[in-house]
Amino acid sequence: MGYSSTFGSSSIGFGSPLKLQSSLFVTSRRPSIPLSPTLLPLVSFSSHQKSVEGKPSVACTPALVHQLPVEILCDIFTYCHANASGEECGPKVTISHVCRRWRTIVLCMPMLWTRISLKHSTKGSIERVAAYLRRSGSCTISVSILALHLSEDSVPSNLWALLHEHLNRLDSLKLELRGSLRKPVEHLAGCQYPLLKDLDLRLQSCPGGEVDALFKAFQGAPLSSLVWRGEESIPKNAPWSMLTKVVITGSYTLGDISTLLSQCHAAQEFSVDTISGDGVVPAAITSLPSLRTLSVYTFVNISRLLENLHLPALDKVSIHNLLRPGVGRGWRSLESLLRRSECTLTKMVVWDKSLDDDQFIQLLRIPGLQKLSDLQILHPSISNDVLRVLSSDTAGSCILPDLAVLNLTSCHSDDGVLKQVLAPRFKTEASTKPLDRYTPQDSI
Amino acid sequence: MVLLVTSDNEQFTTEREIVERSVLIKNMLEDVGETDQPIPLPNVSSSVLKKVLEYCEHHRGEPLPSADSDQSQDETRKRSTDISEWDQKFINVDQEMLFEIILAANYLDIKSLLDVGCKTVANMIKGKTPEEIRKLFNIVNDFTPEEEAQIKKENEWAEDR
Repeated sequence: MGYSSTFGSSSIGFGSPLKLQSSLFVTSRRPSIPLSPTLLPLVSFSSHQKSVEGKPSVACTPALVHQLPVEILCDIFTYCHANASGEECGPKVTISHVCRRWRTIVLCMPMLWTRISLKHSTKGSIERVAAYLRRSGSCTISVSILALHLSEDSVPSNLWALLHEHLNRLDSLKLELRGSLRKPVEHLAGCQYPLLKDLDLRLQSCPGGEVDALFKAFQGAPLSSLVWRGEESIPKNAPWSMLTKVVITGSYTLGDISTLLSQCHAAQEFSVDTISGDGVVPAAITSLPSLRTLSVYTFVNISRLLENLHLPALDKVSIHNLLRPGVGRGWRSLESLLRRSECTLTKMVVWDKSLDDDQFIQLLRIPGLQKLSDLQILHPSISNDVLRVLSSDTAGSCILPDLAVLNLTSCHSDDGVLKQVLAPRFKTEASTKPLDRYTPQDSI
Repeated sequence: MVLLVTSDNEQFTTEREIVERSVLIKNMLEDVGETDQPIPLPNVSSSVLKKVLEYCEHHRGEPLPSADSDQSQDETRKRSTDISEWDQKFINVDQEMLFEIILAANYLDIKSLLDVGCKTVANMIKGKTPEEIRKLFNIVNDFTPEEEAQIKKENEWAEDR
């Protein structure tokens, strides 16, 4: 130990340290969360609790947790909501039901009440939304209306009116709706959205004109991310040119996606799931100077799409080629895209059942992939020959020399060869990890 | 070396590098310069200081959070309740000691130790019902009948989560 102690020494000098001592009595740490004025009376709350009529006195068994000052309880309650993502509420409601002190504190922490979701059309749901809106104070809010399973008439009619006055602090909006959008459009149109950055829309059987009207309502919002889960159509008046993140889910043609890409000038991340038809691909090359991540799920050969792109910032590619085995589509178009764009990838996800061993090895030897540090292969029938090439560290024949993470998912190799062929170059991360995750040995 | 004196009058001699994980003590030492004078810690008992110094010694040399770490860094930190294996073993103490450590970390301004304590309490709360939490921390339900009625109403919200 780097310290020693002497008990009961009487030789403590308090000459000059008197000044020191007085400064020590001051609580040193500033609260990391500014305390609401409503909480100030609680700051002096001691371990003693008032005896409540009909309830046992706690004078003889004070709760030790009440020794903690308000700012520390605020920290603890904030941590209680760590890892709570998306529409999860976290335990704030539970905490608010423990005792009066905790309830007062939690109700005065507006940032805990900013994720507001509605899934059902019960009276309680609306009351909860109203309470969350009230409790979130003036914080930015994230709203999710997940009503795909409800008919348009089942969505509580006063919901939209309730949200109306809070739209100016909306940061993120997720709508899953089906049928007519008349009511939401009525309430969402004509409002200001100065903070709205993320829009996530899953709309089923909605009239096209109403979808357009919905996007029109968001005109002027500083949107940077759009997740669109439509059916087959791509909304025409979405602000594609200003979005940095575009995620499109549905069933689209190669022509649809090519046209869309040509509008996404600011995109840094573009993901489509799925391309299921061909369509007309524009002849002109589309240059997207900021695009770093491209993810495509496809049932068709996307060569014509890749051949028309110029992506100088491209860093990560994820291609899930859902073609059946034996179709034999090559990856030459990716090679040509990387060459044309003069870029090299650091991360790639490959899921392509159509590639045979030779094609797979050719893919891994593409010059633009030689800086790859993270490779994920989802291939149910990847052969040991491919793995042997990948794991070879013989001078001159080592491909992907910078590879740091290899993730083999859905790769079947139960004969022990998988481990044997990978052993020269990769070691398992931990014994609890499945065989499909390896990191390179330190010497490589 | 630095001499610390606890509330129960016990003296601890420790290396400056270790004790300077406490921002309070670090600032104080910087203010007074080299001194042989003992530093009184009237809010920390010897048993707690021993634990605190054990923590500081284990984490010696690790970078301290910067004094002007902004709110966004703070928010990022609070997105996870993961605690390292050593810290978990270290903080595996009875409730009284746990709260004493938290209070001492707050008083001495040792942010990382305070985080470990707060995360531990948060992990104790998570997944429990109000009644289980009361039982765990010996908290009395002191709601008025009116508040109880409101809480009963709020319980119906849970069905919608």
